Order: sequence, then C-alpha cells, then structure tokens
Amino acid sequence: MIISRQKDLQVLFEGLSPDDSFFVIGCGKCAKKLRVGGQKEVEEVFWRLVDRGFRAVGWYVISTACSINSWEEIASEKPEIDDATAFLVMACGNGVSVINRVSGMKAYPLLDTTSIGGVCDDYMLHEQCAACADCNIHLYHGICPYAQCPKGLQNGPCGGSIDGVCEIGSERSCVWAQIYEEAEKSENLEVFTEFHPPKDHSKKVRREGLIEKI
Amino acid sequence: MDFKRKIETGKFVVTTEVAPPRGTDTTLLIEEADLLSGCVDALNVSDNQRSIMRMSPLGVAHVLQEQGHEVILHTTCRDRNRLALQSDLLGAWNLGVRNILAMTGDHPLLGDTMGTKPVYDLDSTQLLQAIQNLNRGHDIMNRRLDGGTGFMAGAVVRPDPNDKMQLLRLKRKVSCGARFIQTQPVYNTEEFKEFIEKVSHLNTHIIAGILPIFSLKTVKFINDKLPGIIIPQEVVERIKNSTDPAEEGIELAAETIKKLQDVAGGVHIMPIITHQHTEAILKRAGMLH
Repeated sequence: MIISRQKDLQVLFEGLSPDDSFFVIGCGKCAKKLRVGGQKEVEEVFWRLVDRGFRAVGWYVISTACSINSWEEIASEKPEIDDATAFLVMACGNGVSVINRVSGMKAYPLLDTTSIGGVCDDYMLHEQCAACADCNIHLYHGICPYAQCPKGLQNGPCGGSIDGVCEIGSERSCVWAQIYEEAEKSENLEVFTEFHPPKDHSKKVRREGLIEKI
Repeated sequence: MDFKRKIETGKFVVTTEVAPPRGTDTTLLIEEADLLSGCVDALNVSDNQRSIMRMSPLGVAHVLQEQGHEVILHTTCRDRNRLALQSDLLGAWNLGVRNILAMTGDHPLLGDTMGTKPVYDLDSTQLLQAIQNLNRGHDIMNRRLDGGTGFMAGAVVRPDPNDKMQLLRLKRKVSCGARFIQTQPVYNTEEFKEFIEKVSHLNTHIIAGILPIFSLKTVKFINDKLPGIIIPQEVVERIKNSTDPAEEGIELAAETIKKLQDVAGGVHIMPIITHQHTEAILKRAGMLH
C-alpha cells in the first residue's frame, strides 16, 4: 500500500487558475482505504471547488489510479471529463503520474505520498519498505531498518537511540529496539554481530526511466 | 609523544573539543585553542555538531594544525556519501590530519537548516571499515590507491552498561577498526566502572567524556538538548548550593577525572561554550604539573 496524506487544500486552491475547468479524480485502492481519496473525500473537494467559485465539471473514483488500461473507458463512463482542462488527483504520486501519461492532461496532486506501508488492525503502518531494490529484510527479523530508521542504518542503532526511543522525537520508537526485541525472542542476535556492508544503490538507479512490457 | 603513539602504547590521554565558527572569523577558535596549549594531547574538531551549520572541520583542522595543535577530525555520515567521505579523508591525510572520529551524525531534523536531505549512505561502522581500507591503501571497492592513509580511527559510545544494543554496536565498531572510543559525558563513575568491566575484553582505548557543569544553565542545557545524559541530583545540588558555581564545577569535574584515572584510558573534556576553566580542571585533577 502507498501511504499518502492530503495537502493543505487552502494553499493548493490559491495556486489554481480560475480559467481552468477542474475534474476531481480519486483512487479506489490505497487512497480510498486511507480515507484520503475515496468517494467521500473526492465529493468534498468537488463541492469545495464549487463553493470557491471554480468551474468544477465532475468527479470520479478510478478503481486503481496507478493501473489504467484504457482512458477511453473512463471517458465513456464520465463524458463530462472531456470538458475539463485540468485534473485534481486524490491518489499517490504513481496515480497522478499514470493519469497524466494516459490522459495527456495537466494533473495536480491533491495528496503527498509519504511511503510504502500498510494497514493492520485499523492502524496505519508507515515506511514498511524503501523500495531499495536490494531487499534483505529477512536479516532484520522482518523489520526493515533501511525504511524505518530515519538514518536508514544497517548496523544497529545510532547513539541517539535511548530507552527504545528515536533521537528525532519522543513519539517515535527506535526501529532497532524492535529488531532487538525480535532477535532476542528468536535467540538469534546475528543481526547485531554480523557486519552489514553498504547498500548497493546501483540496483535501484538502473530501473529509473525504464518502461518495460509486463 | 603524539596522540596515536599514546594510544598505541596504552598511555592515559587527555583530549578536548572545539567547535568550528559559524562564519569565517576564526579569532575566537584560535583563542580557545590557545587556552589548551600544552594541556591536552589533541583537539577534537566537531562536524556540524547537532546538525547546526558551521565551518568545515577540515578547514578548522588546517587552521589549528598551523597553530601547532594536534587534531582529531570528526567525520560524520550525515552530509556526505561514500565518494565524498573517502575523498575528504584523502584530503585530510594530505593536510596532516592523523586522527579521525567516525560518527553517524545527528539527524538534520535536530538542527538549524530545515529541509536538509539526510545522506547516511554509510553508517559509522561502514565508515570505520572504509577508513581501514584507506589505511591499507585501497578504496571502498578494494581498488588500489596511489598512496594510502595511516589514520588512527576512533568512534563514540554512550557508556551505559545496561544498553545491550549499544554494547553490541561498540563491539562491532572495534572489530571495524575503532582503536579509541570517546564516550558521552560521565557523571556516575560507578556505572562507568560497570561499563568498563563489560567492554574490557575489547581491544580499544576508552576515553571518558567529561562535560563540566559551571551553572544551573548548563544543567538545563544538558537536560533539554542532550537526551540520555543523567546528571545525579547530588551534582545539581552542589552547583545549586554553591556561592561560586564555576569553582564548584571545576572541583566536580576534577573529582570525576581522579576517580576515572585508573579506570579509563583517558578523558575527553567538552565544556559548553568555552575552555576558560579546562586548564584549571586538569590542574586540580593532577593532570598538569
């Protein structure tokens, strides 16, 4: 799941041109689940646009904004989309990017994408994966320090980890304290005794800009 | 005898710390360093400490060495990737720097330059390993260099005998080449002894941190800005009840140093703001004659 949060709409609206006609698009997957881009939120933005005097021509929640097979299908379901000169997209950056690509239209993001995470028992789990293209999460008892430690440390906590709390804020627990707890439970402290070499960032960079056939 | 030789021969060392200026004016830096001439073995030069932007420690190291001081160059992983770290280290060696303190570095969110991208391409153990490579005449990719370094590399630790993760991390730092360790401030010498017992099997030289307290303002600063450092109530009371808190601070620091003399491999004195009392502390502790 891609974790996103809504931008400050007040600020965003100030940057919009009154000459544009807006169509609001949501996403039926992650953004809907996180309650930042489902029907309720999309409708709310639509009516706020109307209230502010913008020309708002319609709204639609695409089943998966980052996976669109046919733009024509969407356009046939919502013909008013053709009257729009700009989209306001309530999806992650992936969604905005794909919509921009398939529609060829100007698309403004209404969300800020923060991380790859998940939802468990109604709790949002942030930063579960850093998409590093070099996964070794099994070494860390299923908890990725590269994603979850603000410094991405591979070889144990920094000196700022005190009593299980991260140095950047008392509300954050140190991911290394969680890894230690799991390591102790499984009676395997290897992750703290073995040396982990620096990450190979070339693995990630090689994929950028590529368009591959599935 | 230089710092490296003292570490190699297991001598008690005295180090201290100076902060680079927040600008180009080095007058105060040189004045502070001059207060320490003949008192200490080496001066640590911090690297954008607490993520507050200051002059490059390499530039400061050069200035101090020109004045005849030996330096320990702080090198953090916060602001530079592995390319920049290695090239700066080669440059440092050529400028005469012989001692490096490898650290991860405080997160930029704690600092003064909002929006900074944290780098952390390496962590402190990986940096120590990279220094070992440079010392063998190889880069991080194990390719031979046209001339290697011969750094004395060190690291830092919070001397908490009960923090199992930090103890394991210390062991790994030593195995990656940390030949000296400078600790966070020590106030509770009994707890420090416990820590030393737990790490005595490690082949490294442990230098105890001393952060003298000259006023209740220092107490507040430590409590607010330096999490994890617990000042015993007895120390706070002595400062509070003293008619001359600065004098009491000198006495307290000297007492701690005396207690640590046979326990630690040295002391690292790091007063907040100024070194005007550092010489007095060392004299009182019997370190200077």
